[in-house]
Amino acid sequence: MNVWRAIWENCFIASIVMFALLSILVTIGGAFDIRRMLRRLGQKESDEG
Amino acid sequence: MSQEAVEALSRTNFTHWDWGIVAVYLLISVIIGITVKKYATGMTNYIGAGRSVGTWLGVATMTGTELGLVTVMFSAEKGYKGGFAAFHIAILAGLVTLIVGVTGFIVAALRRYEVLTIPEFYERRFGRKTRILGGIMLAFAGILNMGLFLQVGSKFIVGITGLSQDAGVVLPIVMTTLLVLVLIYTVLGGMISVIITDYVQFVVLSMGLVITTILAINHLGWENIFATIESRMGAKGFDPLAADSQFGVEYVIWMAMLGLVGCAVWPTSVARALAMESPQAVKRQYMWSSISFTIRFLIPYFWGICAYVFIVTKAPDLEALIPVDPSDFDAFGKPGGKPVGILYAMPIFLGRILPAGMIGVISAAMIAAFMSTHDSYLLCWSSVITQDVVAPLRRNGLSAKSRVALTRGLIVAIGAYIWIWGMFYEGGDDIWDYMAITGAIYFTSAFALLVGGLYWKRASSTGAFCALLAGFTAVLGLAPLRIALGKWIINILGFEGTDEAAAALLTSPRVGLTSVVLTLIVFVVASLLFPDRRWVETDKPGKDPNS
Repeated sequence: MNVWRAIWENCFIASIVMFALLSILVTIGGAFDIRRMLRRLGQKESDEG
Repeated sequence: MSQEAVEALSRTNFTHWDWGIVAVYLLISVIIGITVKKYATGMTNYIGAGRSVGTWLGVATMTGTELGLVTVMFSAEKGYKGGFAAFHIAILAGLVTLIVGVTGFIVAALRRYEVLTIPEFYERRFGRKTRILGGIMLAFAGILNMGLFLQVGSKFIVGITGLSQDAGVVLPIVMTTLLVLVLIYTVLGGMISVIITDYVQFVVLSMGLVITTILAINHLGWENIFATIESRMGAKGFDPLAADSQFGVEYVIWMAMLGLVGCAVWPTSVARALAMESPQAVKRQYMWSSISFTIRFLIPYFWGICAYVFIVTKAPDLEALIPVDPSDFDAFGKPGGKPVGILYAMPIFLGRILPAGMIGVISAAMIAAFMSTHDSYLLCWSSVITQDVVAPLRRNGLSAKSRVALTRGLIVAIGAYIWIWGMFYEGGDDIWDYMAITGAIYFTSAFALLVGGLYWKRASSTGAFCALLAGFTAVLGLAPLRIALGKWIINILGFEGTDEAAAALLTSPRVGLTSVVLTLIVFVVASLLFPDRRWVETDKPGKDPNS
């Protein structure tokens, strides 16, 4: 049981830390991606129009 | 319900300020939908966001879609009942997603075809009949699958706000309000507004998940959480392979399979991959998303575990209302002589430990999870019916404008269906089975068709058609059918077939895995026996001739 406890403790802590870091990266990178996506869609719209 | 029960259920830290935070969040989502409506012109933009989604936005939308409130609720229940042993499901899901990201298995290859939906690929590879049948099966299974999302998600809102005792009145109001808001921004902006709201929802959701977890640990104590599970559940609370565990070897294999199809075959995940700007971006999206595919199960399991520890160590009033004895857990969500189901345990726990203000942010985060799943599912099934069933059946095709209009109409129609379903369906002890099996009706055959179609040259259209039909065997995993079949088999073997013996003989994982293997065998054998006479012209990546 101690082995399983150690496995789940480590998995849990590692996952939370990685997710916290991922959240920061996605929050910043995603904002730039939205700007780029809307610019492309706007460009497409004006090309088609 | 007794006065004591009413008082216990209405105890929460949720205040008017928290309602205000939730209202502001909901307003932002609707404004986004209205603002981006001007971009939702053609079908590629409306259901594929113009295939211009970058990696980070892709991760946000993937997480937002797949981390639904229904997942949070059922996972919390799994953690409550199974303890830390349930963590294996989360770790498997993350590992499988990472492997898919590194190799590009299925998703990157599919993105190269530049299709908008999975059945569209079926047509390129196997012909129009396969596309239409595949589209019907996908939409049928998917719409059935999401039937309970609205009701279960709304139960969270009712539980955390302390309104459980008035659930009969409040639940329909919550369900209707949330559904109408999702319909507004999804119908107006399509995939573009879905993706942008997914991003906002990711930001709120990720913050909420991490902060709530820290507060839960702080409230209960790290050591106390482990010690309580150890004393109450013993080895089976940690070891998924323990003799008396809820899980076992077959279950673990089934979960690995579900992890694979959940990220690489399930249409709402694949829709995110198909909206990415390149196959390379798809791989990066999956590699990063492997973290959130782990978290989407891991944190709710942990919250469920914390709810259990809270009830047995700090809330004697709740211990009298919600089952805590593991021997009562066998009946899904059914109180063992207690008046309140396990599903309410986690939201009631959060309602008690989170401070005012923070509880509003967490509720907004959970509503975010609710909305981001609903919008994507609504868009996915409606676009499949338009693109893969209605349009191919019409000889003259459909104009882009008609397709967008039809998709919008279908979104509203599916919304009406889940509202009616949520209003009148009384959840029983087969909800989880129901969801897994309705999903399996689609994914058992889709897995065979995608893998075979992408990686096996001899895969034929007859093999694909037969595999789609063989996928229906998954429906035998539903509890009533499974038990009836099990009894029949036991009786044929000359023994007396009881419900318990039948359930032990044909478990859900066993039926599910058998169905997957059977479908693959049918696909391979039929392809070898009835090969295609010539390669279909549209067999290679390129533009959809039907669009």
